[in-house]
Amino acid sequence: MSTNLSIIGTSITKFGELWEKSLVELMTEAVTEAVRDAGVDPEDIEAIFVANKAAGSFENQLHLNALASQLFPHFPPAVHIEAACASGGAALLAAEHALLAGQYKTVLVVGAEKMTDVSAEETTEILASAADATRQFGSTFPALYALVADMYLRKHALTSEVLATIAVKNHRHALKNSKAQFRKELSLEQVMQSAIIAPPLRVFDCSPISDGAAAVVLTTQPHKAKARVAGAGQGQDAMVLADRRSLTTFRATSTAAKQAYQRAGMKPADIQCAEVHDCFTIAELLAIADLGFFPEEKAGRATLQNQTTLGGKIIINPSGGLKACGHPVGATGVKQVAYLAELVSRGEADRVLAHNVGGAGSTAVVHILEKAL
Amino acid sequence: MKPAAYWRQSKTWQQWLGRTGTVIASTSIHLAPPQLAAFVPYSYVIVDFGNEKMEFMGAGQDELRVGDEVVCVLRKLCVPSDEALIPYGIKVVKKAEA
Amino acid sequence: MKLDGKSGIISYGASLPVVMITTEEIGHAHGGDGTPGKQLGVKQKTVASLDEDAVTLATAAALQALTRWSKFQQKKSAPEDIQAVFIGSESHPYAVKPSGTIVKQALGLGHVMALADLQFACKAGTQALQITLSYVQSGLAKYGLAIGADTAQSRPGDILEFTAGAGAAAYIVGSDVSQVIAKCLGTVSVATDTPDFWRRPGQEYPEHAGRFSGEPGYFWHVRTAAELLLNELALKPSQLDYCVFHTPNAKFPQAVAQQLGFTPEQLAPALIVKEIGNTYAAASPLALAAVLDQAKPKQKILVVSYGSGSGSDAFVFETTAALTTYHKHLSETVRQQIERLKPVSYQTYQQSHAGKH
Repeated sequence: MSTNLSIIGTSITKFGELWEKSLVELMTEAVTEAVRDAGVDPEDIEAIFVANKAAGSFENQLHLNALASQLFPHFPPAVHIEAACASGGAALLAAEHALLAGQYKTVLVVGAEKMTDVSAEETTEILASAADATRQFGSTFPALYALVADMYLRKHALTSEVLATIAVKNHRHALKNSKAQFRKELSLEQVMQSAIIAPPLRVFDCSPISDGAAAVVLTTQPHKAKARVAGAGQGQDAMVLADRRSLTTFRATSTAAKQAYQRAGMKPADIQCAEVHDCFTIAELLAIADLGFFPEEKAGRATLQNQTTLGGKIIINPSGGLKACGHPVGATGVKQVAYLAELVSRGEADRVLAHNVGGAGSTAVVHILEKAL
Repeated sequence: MKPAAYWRQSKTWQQWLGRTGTVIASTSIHLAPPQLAAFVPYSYVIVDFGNEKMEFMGAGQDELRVGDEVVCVLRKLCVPSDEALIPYGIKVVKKAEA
Repeated sequence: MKLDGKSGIISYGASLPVVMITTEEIGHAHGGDGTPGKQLGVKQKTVASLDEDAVTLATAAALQALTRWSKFQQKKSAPEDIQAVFIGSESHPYAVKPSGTIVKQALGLGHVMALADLQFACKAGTQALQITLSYVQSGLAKYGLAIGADTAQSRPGDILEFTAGAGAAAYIVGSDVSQVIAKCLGTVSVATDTPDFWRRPGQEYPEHAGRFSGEPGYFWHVRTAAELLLNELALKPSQLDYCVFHTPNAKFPQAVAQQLGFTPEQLAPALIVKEIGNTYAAASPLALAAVLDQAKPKQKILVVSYGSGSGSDAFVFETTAALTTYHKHLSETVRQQIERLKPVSYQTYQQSHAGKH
C-alpha cells in the first residue's frame, strides 16, 4: 500500500454482561480513550465511522452516527456502517477508503454493541436477521454454522473434539487478556458435555452474548504510531448456504484474504498471529484454512496438535477470540484490529491479520497490520 | 408475519409442494426465537433436489438425518398468537417408504 | 335425488398424521384402563403435530388427489380447470378467512373459483362433496374439489378424548366419462334442529348431550337418509357391495348397518375408525377412500354421513371400469398410512397435539 495508513490510538472496553453501561456510555468510553491514546486533540478527528449491527432491534436506536458525532465539540461528519457481524471490519474499510482518497487525514472508527438487556430467545431472533428470512425461515445463527459443522466433520472424518479443542485453547489465551468476558479455563469434557444448541454445536462452542466497544484512530499524517495497515480486503458469498458452491470453506474469507495479502505484498506464511472470527468454534476451523495458514484437510489435525497456539506454527486468537473475549457484534471487528495494533506496538509480533465475518460467511473483511514505520 | 409478506411468500408454496429431495446436511434447533419455541427441538436441513438445493425446517418432531429422502409439505411455520395471521409455509418430512 | 350417473369422483386422496395414541394409553392417563376404548371399539386415534391443522392436512390430501389424477390421465392435470373448492371442517383455523383459499393457493389452482368453507359437525366434508357434485352436474364447474378435514378437539378427561382424531380426505369431481372412477347414482340429505353436540365461539372444546346423541341424533338421521335414497334408487342392501356410515366410534355404524340390513362384511373396510379414531368432517370421506382403495369396478357403495346439530348426507356411488387403471397409480393408500402410524405417550400427545384448532 503506497499511502501510509497508521493506527495511532486504540481502546477496548471490558467485554461482558455490563448492566451499568448503556450503549452510548460504552461508545463514549471507547471513543474518549482512543483519542487520548492517540495523543491528538478531539478537533483533529475529521470524521467518525460507527460500527454496530443491531441497535435498531435491541433498543430501537438507529441514528448512531449522530450519537457519536455529538461526543465532539465540533460535530465531525459521521456514518453508521452495518454488515452484520462484519460491521467492524466494514467500518474500518470505509474509514481507510476515505483516508486513501485524501478526503480526510485523521479519522476515528468505533464499534459498539449492547446485547444483554434482552432475553436469550430475543437475541436469537435478532441475530437471525443476518439470515434471509424469506428463504431461511426457522433458521438460527447457530443452526447455520451447525450445518457447516455437520458437513465439515463428516467430510474430514473429525469428531466434535476438534471443536472443543478450539474453545479450550481460546479460553486459555484469554487468561492474559484483562478485557475478556471469560477468564476461566475450560476443559474438553466441560465443552463436550455442555447443553446442545444445534448439533453438533453446544453452548461452549458458541461465543457469548456480550456488551462492549472498541475504537481506533487512523491517520495518514506523520505521527507516532502503534502499527500500520499494510493491506485489507472484503469478500462476499451467498446468504443461503444451499446456494453456496462449498459448505466447508467460506469463499468470502478467501476472497478478502487474497485481496489483503496482495495489497500488503505478503503471503500467509508471513503472518505470525491472527485474530479470526470464531463466533462458533467451527468458524475458526474453516478460517485457518480459508486464510491460507493450513490446507483444508490439515486444519483439524493442526488444531488438535496445538499448531494454532503458543509454540505452534501460528497463534490464532491470542486475545481469546470471540469465544472467550466475548462478541459484542459491532465491536468485534474494531476490537480485533485494536488488539493486534497494541500487540504489534509492544513488539510481540511484526505481521498480524484480523478476520471479521458477517452472517454465516456471507461477508468477510480481512486486515493485515505490520510494525509502524 | 405481516399480511403483505405472507401474501408474497404464499406465491412460492406451489413450486415446492410435493417435491422430493435428499438431506445433505442436518442439524436441529434447541434454542429458538420466541415464536418458534413451541416447536423446539426441530430439524433444520439442507435438501438437494437435484437441480437446486434449499434450506428447510423439518416438520413436526421429525428427526431428519443426512441421506433421508424428504418431501415438501405445507405446515404452520410457527404457532401464532390467538389474534395473529397464521404463517403457513413449506417444511420437509421424511418420505414414506413405498 | 336420482342422478344421471354422469358426474362422479375422478380422483381422491387421503392424509393422516404420522403418530397416534392408543385408547389404552388415554385410559391409563385418566386413572383407569383400556375399557372405554374397548367399549367404543376404538384401539387408537391419530394425533396431529403442533404445526399441523385442518388446512395442512387438507392440502396433503388434495395434493395426493391431484397427483394421482395427473398420473391416471398420463398428462399434467390442468389445475386451473378446478373451479369449485368446498371444504368442510369443525376445526377451521379461522373463524373468518377461509381454509379453502390457503389450500388452493398451495396447490397452485387458478383464481377463477367458487369457494367456501362449510361447517356442519361431522357431515361438513360430505356436504362439501354433495355441493361440488352439484356444481359439476349443473355445469357451473368442469371440475371441483371437495375436502373433509379436521384436527378434532376434545376436553382432557372427557369420553370424547378416546376418539377425537385428525385426518383429511379430498375428492376431485368431474363428469368426463373416461375419467370418472365412481359415478354418483343419487344423493339425498336430511337436516333437523337436534342439539346433540355444539361449540360456542371462543370455546376451546365442544359440549355433547350424552345418550341423546344416539337414537334422536345419529340413528334417526342416518337411517332416514339411507332409506330415502335406497327407496328412490329402488336398491336393497343386498344389491350393494359396501356401506359407509359415519364413525363416532365403531359401535354406532355396526348397529345402524344391522338395523338397515347390511352385513358386517359390507361394512368392514369402512371401519378404519378402530385405528384412526373419529376424524369428524373427514370421517366418512376417509372411510370411503379406504373402501375405494380396495374396491373393484362395477361395485355399488352407500355412503351416509352424520353431522351433529343434526343432519345426514347419503350417496350411492358405482365404481367404473376406469377404477382398475386408476388403481395402478395408487401409493400411500389409507391402509399404508395407517400401518406406519407410530404411538406416542399421553404426555407427548398433550404437548404436541393440536387440541386447539
